[in-house]
Amino acid sequence: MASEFLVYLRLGLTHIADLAGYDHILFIAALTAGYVASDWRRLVWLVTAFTLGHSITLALATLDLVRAPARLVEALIPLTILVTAGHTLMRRRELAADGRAAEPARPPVALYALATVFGLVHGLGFSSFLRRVLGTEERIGWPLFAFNVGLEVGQLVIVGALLLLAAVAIRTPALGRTRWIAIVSVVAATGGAWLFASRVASA
Amino acid sequence: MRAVGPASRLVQSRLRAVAVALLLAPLVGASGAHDVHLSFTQVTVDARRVTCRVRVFRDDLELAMARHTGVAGWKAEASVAVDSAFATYFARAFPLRADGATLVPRVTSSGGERDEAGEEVRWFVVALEAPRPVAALSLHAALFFELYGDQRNVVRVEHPDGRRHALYFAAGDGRAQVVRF
Repeated sequence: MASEFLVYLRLGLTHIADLAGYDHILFIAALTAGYVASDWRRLVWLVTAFTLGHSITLALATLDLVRAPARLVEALIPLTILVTAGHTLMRRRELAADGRAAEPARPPVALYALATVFGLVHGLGFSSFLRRVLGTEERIGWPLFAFNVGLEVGQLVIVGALLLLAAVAIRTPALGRTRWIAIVSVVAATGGAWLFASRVASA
Repeated sequence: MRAVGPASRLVQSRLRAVAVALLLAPLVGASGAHDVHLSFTQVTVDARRVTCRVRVFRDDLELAMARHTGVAGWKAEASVAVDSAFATYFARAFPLRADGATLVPRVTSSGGERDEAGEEVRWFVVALEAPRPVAALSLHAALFFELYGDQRNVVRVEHPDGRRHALYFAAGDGRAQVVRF
């Protein structure tokens, strides 16, 4: 039982942190681009909102209450990256100003809601991936749970790496916080648009 | 020489930021999304008999078998010849040893499952017979390691008493893992 948990945890961790399969990394980058290390509490809540979303769909998939067409889900995931990157890009001045304010403003409730809803979509992607491999007859409750814990650990590792990069970038005179947010958002949005186009084209 | 005003500097700085972003963006898009390279095998042991139920993606299988057999465009169709070819590939890519003895695989049945996205998973039931009741089973699931650097193979071994043991093999793992009964 413990070995099974560890195997699927490792699978979840490598699935989300795999640089070659960067769609989830792009989403997290777009979601967290506006924050720095001192915002860690807000970031934890934001990432937890995303986790809550994909946990719900993973649980529903476990109970076989939801099964979405894989092609539709694969096309929706890049759209979540595009929308999130656009949202962050539009708020870049407000987000960058937070660092100078005595009491930074909280992220809008809409952002938490966005993270949760988009987590639902990514969760469908994760569950369809596992279902395909394990087969419909296999009980996937325990593997899905372990896989989800691995995803959460992977997300926190990615957020940590992005915060490190942000710390270096915003101290670079030529960059600064506003430009850093803009660059990450544009890169994420371009990646999302590319993935969306390629997945729609192959549908 | 013309003085550069704050508005002009702002425009220049914005243009620089956009230029950096646009230079980085193709790097993200260039490699495209990758397929997930994963296989799942359920191994059951009953005294001398070892049964493996292998699940692999059809496109990975066809690539590996084309390379293994030297037949370009090898197709994973339901046939005795395909099962036989897969058994030879399995013997090489998934060696099993029971208490030191190398086991010879034989495919007893096979089939496919197509999902709503049109992606097909092929399954094979592979039977192996040990010379005596298995006390220690050595496995090295290296399916498709020759194709992909990110290939992962998950193996679940079911003990006769119902206990389950999961093993994880990633491309680059050169060592076999041993399960004791």
